[in-house]
Amino acid sequence: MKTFLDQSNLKINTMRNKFLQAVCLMSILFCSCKKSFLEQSNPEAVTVPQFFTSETDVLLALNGCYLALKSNSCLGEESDLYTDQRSDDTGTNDNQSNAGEPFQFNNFSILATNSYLKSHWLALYTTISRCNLLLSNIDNVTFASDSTKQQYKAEAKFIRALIYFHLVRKWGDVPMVTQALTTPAQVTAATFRVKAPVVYAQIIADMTDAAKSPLPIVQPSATRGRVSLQTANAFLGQVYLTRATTLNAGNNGTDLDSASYYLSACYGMRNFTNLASIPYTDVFDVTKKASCPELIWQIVYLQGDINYYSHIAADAQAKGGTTNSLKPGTGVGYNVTHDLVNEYEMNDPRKAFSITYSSSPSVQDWYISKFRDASGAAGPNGYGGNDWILMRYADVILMLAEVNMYQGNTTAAIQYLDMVRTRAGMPSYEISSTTDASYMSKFSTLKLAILHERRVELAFEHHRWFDLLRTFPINDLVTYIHSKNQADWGLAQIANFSTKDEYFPIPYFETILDPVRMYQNSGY
Amino acid sequence: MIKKLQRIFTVHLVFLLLLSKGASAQTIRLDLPGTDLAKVVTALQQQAPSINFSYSQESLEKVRLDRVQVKAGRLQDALEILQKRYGLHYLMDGNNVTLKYVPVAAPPAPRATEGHRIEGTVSDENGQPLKGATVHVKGSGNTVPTDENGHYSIEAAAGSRLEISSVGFSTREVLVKDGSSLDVRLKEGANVLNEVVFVGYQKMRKSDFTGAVASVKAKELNVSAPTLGQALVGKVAGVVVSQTDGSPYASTKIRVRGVGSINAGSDPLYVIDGYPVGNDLYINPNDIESIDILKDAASAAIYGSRASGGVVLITTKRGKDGKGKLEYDFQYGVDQLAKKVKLLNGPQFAQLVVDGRNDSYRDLVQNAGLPWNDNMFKDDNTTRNAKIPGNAGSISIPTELYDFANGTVIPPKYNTDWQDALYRNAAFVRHNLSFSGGTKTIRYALSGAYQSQDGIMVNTGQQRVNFRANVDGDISDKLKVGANLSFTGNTNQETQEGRWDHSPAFGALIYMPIFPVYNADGSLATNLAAAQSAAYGYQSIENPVATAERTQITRKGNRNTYNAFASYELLSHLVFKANLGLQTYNEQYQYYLPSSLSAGIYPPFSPQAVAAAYATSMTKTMKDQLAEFTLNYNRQFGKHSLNLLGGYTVQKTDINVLNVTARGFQNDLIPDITSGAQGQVTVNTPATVAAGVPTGGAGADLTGKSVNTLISYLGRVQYSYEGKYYLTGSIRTDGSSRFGPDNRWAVFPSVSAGWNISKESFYRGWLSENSTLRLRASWGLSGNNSIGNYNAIQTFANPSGIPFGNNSPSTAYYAGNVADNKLGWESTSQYNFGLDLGLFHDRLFVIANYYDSRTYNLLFNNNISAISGNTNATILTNLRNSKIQNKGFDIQLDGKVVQTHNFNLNLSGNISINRNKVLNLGGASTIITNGAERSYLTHITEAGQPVGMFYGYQVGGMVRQSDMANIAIDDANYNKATQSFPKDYVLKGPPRSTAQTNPLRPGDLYFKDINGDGVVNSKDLGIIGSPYPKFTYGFVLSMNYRNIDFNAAFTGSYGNQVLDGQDYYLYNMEGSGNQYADVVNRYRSEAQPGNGHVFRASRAGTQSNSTRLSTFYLQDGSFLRCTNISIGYSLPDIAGLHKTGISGIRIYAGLNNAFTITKYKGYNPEVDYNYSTNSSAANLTPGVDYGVYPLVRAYNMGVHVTF
Repeated sequence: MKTFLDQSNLKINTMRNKFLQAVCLMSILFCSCKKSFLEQSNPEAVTVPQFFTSETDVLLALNGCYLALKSNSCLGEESDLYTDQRSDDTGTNDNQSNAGEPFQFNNFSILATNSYLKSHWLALYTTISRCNLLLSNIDNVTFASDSTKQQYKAEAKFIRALIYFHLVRKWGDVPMVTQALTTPAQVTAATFRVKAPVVYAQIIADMTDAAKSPLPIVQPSATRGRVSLQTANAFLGQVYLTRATTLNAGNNGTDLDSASYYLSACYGMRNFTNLASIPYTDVFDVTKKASCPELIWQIVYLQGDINYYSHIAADAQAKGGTTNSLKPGTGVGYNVTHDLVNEYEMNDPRKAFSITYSSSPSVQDWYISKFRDASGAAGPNGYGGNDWILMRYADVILMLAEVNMYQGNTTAAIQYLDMVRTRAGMPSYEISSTTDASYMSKFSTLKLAILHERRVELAFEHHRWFDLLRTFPINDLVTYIHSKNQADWGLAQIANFSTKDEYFPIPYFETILDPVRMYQNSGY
Repeated sequence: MIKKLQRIFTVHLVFLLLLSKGASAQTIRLDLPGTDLAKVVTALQQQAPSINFSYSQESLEKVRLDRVQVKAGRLQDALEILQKRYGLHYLMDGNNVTLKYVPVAAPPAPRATEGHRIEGTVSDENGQPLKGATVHVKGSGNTVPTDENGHYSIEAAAGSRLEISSVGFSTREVLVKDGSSLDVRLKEGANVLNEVVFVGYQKMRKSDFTGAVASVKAKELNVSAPTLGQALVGKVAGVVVSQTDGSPYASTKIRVRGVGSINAGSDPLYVIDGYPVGNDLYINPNDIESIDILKDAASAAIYGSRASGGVVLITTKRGKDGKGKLEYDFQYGVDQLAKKVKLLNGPQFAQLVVDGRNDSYRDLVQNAGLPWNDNMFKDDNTTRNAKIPGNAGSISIPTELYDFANGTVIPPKYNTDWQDALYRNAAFVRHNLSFSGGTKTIRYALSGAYQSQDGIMVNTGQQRVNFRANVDGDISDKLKVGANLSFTGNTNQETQEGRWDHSPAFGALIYMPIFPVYNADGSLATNLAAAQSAAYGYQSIENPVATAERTQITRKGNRNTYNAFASYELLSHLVFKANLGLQTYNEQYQYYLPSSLSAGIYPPFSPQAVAAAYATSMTKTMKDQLAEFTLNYNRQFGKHSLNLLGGYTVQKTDINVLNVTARGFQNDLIPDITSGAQGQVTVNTPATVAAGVPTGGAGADLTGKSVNTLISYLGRVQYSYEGKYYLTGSIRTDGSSRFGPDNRWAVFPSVSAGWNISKESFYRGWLSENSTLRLRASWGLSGNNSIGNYNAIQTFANPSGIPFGNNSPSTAYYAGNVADNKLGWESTSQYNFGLDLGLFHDRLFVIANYYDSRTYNLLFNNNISAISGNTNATILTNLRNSKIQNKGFDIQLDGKVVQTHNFNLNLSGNISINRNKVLNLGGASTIITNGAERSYLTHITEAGQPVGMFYGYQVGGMVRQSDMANIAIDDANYNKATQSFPKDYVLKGPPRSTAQTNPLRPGDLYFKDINGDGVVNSKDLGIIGSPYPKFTYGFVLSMNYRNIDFNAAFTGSYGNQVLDGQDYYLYNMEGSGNQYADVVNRYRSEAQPGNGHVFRASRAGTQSNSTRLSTFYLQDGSFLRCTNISIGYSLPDIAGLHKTGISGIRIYAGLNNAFTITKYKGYNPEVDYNYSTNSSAANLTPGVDYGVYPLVRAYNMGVHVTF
C-alpha cells in the first residue's frame, strides 16, 4: 500500500513537471509570435501598392473605370433622371414612388438632401477617383510597349475629363482632384470647390492628351465600348462648344475655332461617306451595334445575359406595348411629355420610331420606344442587348451645324443640318423654313431649327438638357420653359422653374463638411 | 435577554488562503476570563496571523462567556474544543471556516422528558447534503452539527421542535414526531452579499466586490422560457433585456446602461465559463448555474477592449461531491399569437379603396385645371384614364368593388382574416436529462437536452440538441484540473422579416381582406392582388400564406466548445492557472425562392417568376482559439487581505464563409444550388451583390475569409482591511488586429473602493436593528472593438465584370474605400457610486447604483467628401473629441415579505433610469439617418440630444372647409418659382409644404411652420420624439405555501415612442393594402369629419404632404408586460417513491407573455428593427418597428423528477 502511494505520488510529481513544462512552452510560443500575430491582412484583397505590378493589372483597373461609368447613378442607360428628366422631353407623373424624390427633378423642387442627387454625385466622383488611382500608379509599372501605356493613360484621362464635364455643367464650381488620395487628411485638404474655368482647363488638357494619343481612330468590334480617337475629338469639340456658349460669352472666338477644329477632325475620321447611307433605325439595331459606323462610343450591354443585359427597352415599354420587348409592360413605361410629342414635324419617321402610344385603358399615353430589343434572344424577361450610345455622328454633325451657325457660316451650318434631316427623310431646311408654316413659326431662327433638330434626332439620349443650357442663357431659359403649356408637361409644375435650376444644389452632406469652401449654389 | 441569548448568529471566518500546514500545526493557547467572542477571535488572530477574522461586531458584543480555556496543538483541535465546550461550532470547507455560536449555558429550561434519538439528513433544495449545519432542540441545550454526509443524530422528545440552520440558508423549524427519522431540506437565503459572484478571471463574495454587478441565480430564471435571454427578461436592474422578435430562433436584445456607440456594436461581451466567445444563443437554460452581469466600467475593465457594452458572465452547473444525482425534466407547451392587430375588415377596406380612388380622381382633375362636378365620381375607368393619363393606379376602381352607375360600393365576396390564416397554435416539447455527482477528487455534471419548438407562423420552427459535460478533478492538494465540453446544435426553419414583399408577418397585415386564402380546389390562391396592382394601385404583394409556405429557409448550426484548465499552487498562496479553449461553429444556411410565387406582378410559373427563382447556400465555419495564463496570489496579513491577479491571454478567431447563388431553375423540384442553370451560378461577394445577384435574404454572410486576433495582459489588485475597507485596482492592455498599426494597443485601467459602514463601531443599527450598509465607488475605462476586420487599410475590392464588344465580360478591378490607418479603440470612462443596504435582518435588501459614463473617440462612419471615392462617402474613423454620455440610476429591491415555515412571500423589483446625450460629435456634422422605408430621413443625432431622436415635422392640425378661403388668399400671394411669400406677408391659412404636389384640401394634415417663413420645408424639420424610455422596470412576485410555489414576473417601459414603419402602408389611407382599424375614423367630409386626427383617403394626393415622417406616425411605446406566470407543486415525500429511487417530483405549469398593456397599435412595442442594410448604423435608428415576427404567448406544463 505504501509503495503504491509512493508510486502514485511519483506519477503526480512527473505530471506536475510535465504540466509546468507545457505551460512554459506555451507561454514562449504565444509570446514569441506576438508581433506578426496582430498584423492580420485581408486574405481576400490586395493593397493598392501590391496591386499595380504588371500592365495587365493596369488594364484591369482601367476596366474598373469603365465599370464605374456604366452605373445608372453615373452615365449608364438609365441615368435619365439627371439629364432628360430635367428637360422638356420626359419626366414622371408619379409624385409618389420613393416618397416623391425622383419627382423633385422634373418638378424643379429638388432639395440638397435628395438621395438620388447624392447617388449621382457619388458615382461621378467614384469614377474620377478610379481614374486618378490608375494615373498615379501607372508609371510604376513596366510596359512592353510604351504605346500601350499611353493608350491606357489616354483612356483614363478621357474618362476623368468626361466626368468633370458633367460635373461642371450640372453644378458649376466643383471640387477637382487629379491624383490618387490615399489618406483622410489628403481628402479633407482637397474638399473645396474650384472655379468652373479652372475645371474646364483641366478637362481640355486631359481630352487634348487623349486626342493626341496613340489610341485607335475607331475601336474594332471586339473592343467596342473603349475610347477611340473619334471619341476624344468629338467630346473635345463639344467641350469647346459648351465653354464658348456658357462660360466665355462675348469672348468665345477661339473656343468656337477649337470646337470646329476637333469636331471637323472627328468628322474626318468617319467610316462612311454620307450619313444618309446609314438608316436611322440601324443606329438602334441591336444586331448592328458593333458594326454601325455612326456609333462613336457606347456603353456595352450583353443580350440574354442575366448579369449584363440592358434593361431600358423592357423598362420603357408601357402596358399593352409590344414594340420594345417580349417582356409585357406593367405600368405607364417611360414618360414622354406632350410638349415633345407636339415638337415633331408632320410625318417625321423618327417620331413613330421614338415614341409609341399605348391605348391600354390604364395607360392611354405615350411611352419611349426608341430602344428596342423584342428578339427571342432577349426573351420574355427583357434581357435586352441595347448598347447605350454616348456619342454618334448625327450628334457631331449637328454640333458642327451649331458651331458654324455661331461662327456665322450659315451655309455650312445648313449643310450639316440637312445631312441629318435628309437621312431622317425630312425636307431640307431651305424647304421647311420657307414652306412649312408650322415649322416657320416654331423654329423661326436657324439656332432654334438646330435645337429642334437635335431634340427630335437625339431624343432620350440624355442630351436635351445640355442643349437647352448651350442655347439659352439662364434667364432666357426661364422664359423659354415658362412659355410652355402646363397641360403638355404633366403633373410637374413649370412655374417652379427658376434661375436656380441652372445648377443642381451641392449635395447637403458635402456642404456641411465645409460650409465655406463647399458653398451652396444660389437659390437652394 | 433569553431571546437574545438564544439567538443563533454566525461568525464567518474566511480563510482566504489555502490552509497550510504551517498555520494548522501551530500550538494554540487561550485563557480568557470573562470574555466575549471578539476577544476569543482576537486571541486566535494573534496566534494564527495568516488567518483573517471578520465578524459582526454588533452581534459579538451581545455575547458573554465566563471563561475560555483552550490548549491544543493544531488550530483544528482548538476549534474542536471551542465547539465542544463553548458552543462555538465550526465548519471547515476547503478555504473556508465557518463558526456558529450556540450558547451552551442556556438558562434553566424544562428538562425534556427522556427523549429518544432522532436521526436524519440535512440537505439543500436540490437534495445535496449539507455538512456543518446546526441542529438544535429548541428550549434545550442540545445542539449538534451535521457530518460530511449531512447526517445528524440528536436526543429530542416527540413534540419538541428542531431548529436547523446553516450559513447561506434560511433557518427552519420542524416538529419532532414519533418516528426516529427526520430529513430536512433547507432553502437558500440570507444576505445576498454572501453570494459568490464571478467578476472575470476570478470569483469572489459579493461583499468583497466593489463594482456594480447584477446576478441572477438559476432558481430565479424562468425555466419554461425557450431561450436563456427570454428567461432573463425584467430580472436585472440597469440591464434592459428586450423581446423584440417572437420567432422560435430569435434572441433577445441585451443593453447594459444605454447606448454609447454610434457605428460600433453595443452588445455586451458574453463569457461562458470563462471563455469570451460571443453569444451562444441556444445554450441550454437548464445548464445555467448563475449569470453575473458586470455593469460598470470598473468591473468590466478587466475585459478591456470588448467590455464597453458590459459583460455577461454565464456559469454552468458543476458537479459536487456526494451521491450522484439524476434529474429528468419534461415540458410540453402550446404557443399562440400573443396579440392580434386590429385591422379593417373586407367591407371597410372596400370602402377605403373606393374613397381613395375617387378623392384622387377629383384632385388630379382639378390640378390639371379641368372642370369638375361630383357626378364624375360615376365615371368609368376608361373615362378617368383618358382624362388623367399616367395615373391609372390612383384613380381606377376595381369593378367588382364599385357600382359605377350608382356610385356605390359593392360588398366584397370574401372577408379574410389573414392573421388567422398565417398563424397557428404551435407545439413545444423539451426533454432535459442531467446527471451530476462526484467524489472528493473528481466531480462531474453531465446534461443532454432536446427541444422542439414549432413557430406560430406556418413553416417556421426550431429543433435543438444540447449536450454538456463539466468535469473537475483534484490531482493533488496543489494541482487541480477540469474540462468543459459542450455541444449546441440547432436546425431552424426561418422566415424573412421586414418589407411585405418578403415578410409574411407584414404581408398578413397588409394583404387585402377581400381576397381568399385558397382557391375552390383547395390550392393556395396566388397573384390575386399583384395581378391587379398596376390597374388599381394595390401593392404587388403575394398571398402571405403562400410566401411563408413556399419560401424555404433553413439554418443548421453546430457549436462545439472544448475548454480545459489546470491550476497549480506554485508556492504557498500563489496559484498558476492555465485555461485553453477551442470553439468551433459551423453553419449551413439554405434559401430557396420558388417559381411558384409571383415575381412582382407576374404570376407563379410565368417566365419572369421562373427567372426570379433562385437558391442560395451559405456555409460558414468559425474556429476560435483561446489561451489564458493567470497567476493569483492571495494572502492575509493580520487584518490586511491582499489578492493579486496577473494574466496573459491570447485569442484568435478564423472565419471562413462560402456563399453561392444559383439561378435559372426550370422547376422547383430540387430547391438547392445544384439545380441551377449552367453559367448562372455565382460565388457571392460584395461585388456580385453590387451587380444585383440576390443572396438569400438578410440571413447570410458573403464569401470571404477573415482572421481576427487579440493579445492582452491583465492585472488586478484587491486589498481589504478588517472587512471594512476595500480597494481594488485593475489594468488591462489589449492589442487588436482590427485597428491601424498606429493605434493597435490600448490600456484600460480601473479603481474601485468599498466601505462597510455597518462594521464600524459607531454604526449601531442606525437604520434598523440588524441592518447592513455598504458604500461603493468606482471608476474605470473600457473599450469597444466591435467593428469589422481589415478597416484600417485600403485594399482592392473583389473583381467585377464589364463587357466590351460582343465578348464575354472582361474582369474589372477597383480600389475599395480610403481607410484610416489611425483607426483605434472607442473608449468608455465610467464612474459608479453604489449603496448596498440590508434592513430588518436582511429581509429587505436594496442595491442602488448611480453612474455617469462618457464614451469618446467614437467609432463612426464619418462623412467624407465624395472625392475620396468611398462608398456612400463615409470613412470608418474615430471621432476625436467626441463624447456620448450615459448617466443613470438603477435600483434593485428584494423583500422577504413573509417568512414562515409553511408560507413564504418574496417581492423583488427593479427600476432603471438612463439618460443618453451626445455631448460632442467631435467635428462631425449632425447625423441624419433613414431608419424606415422612406426616402425621407427619420432620425437625427446631434450634440445636446440623445443618439437617434425621431426627426420630422410636427402636425399642426387638419385642414377644414373653413380654411379654404384663407388658403385661396395665400395662394394669390405665393410665388411658386421662389417658393416664398412676399416679405412681411402674414399667412392667413395653414402653412403649405413646398414639397407638396397637391394643394391643401379639407381632410389633409398640415405641418407647423416652425421658422415662421410661411412655408413648410426642410427648415421646419426637427426633433419630434424620443425612442428612449423615461425608465424601465421589472418586478417579480414569488411565494410558496407548503409544497406549492408560485411566481409571476413583469417588465415594462415608460415614456418612449415608437416609429411604426408599417404605418407607411398600414396607416396611409391609400387603400393600397389593408390598414389599421383606426382608419375608419378618417375624415370623409365636413359632415363626417372622423376623429379629427386621421386624414382623408387618397391614393395619390396627400402622399408628399401627409405621409412624411411627422408626429402623426409616432406612437406611445410604453408598456407593462407579464412575462411569466408559473405554478409548481412538489410531491410530498412518499415512501413508495423512495423505493423506486425517485427522491423528488415536481410538476409545474407556466404561461409566458401572459399579457401586455400598451396603446401601441402593432404587435409588440419592444421594437428593434434595423432598416439599414448596414447593421453598424443600428444605434442611429432606434425605436423602429417593421414586419417583425410577432411575440408568442406560451402555455407550458412540465414535470421534474429527481432520482
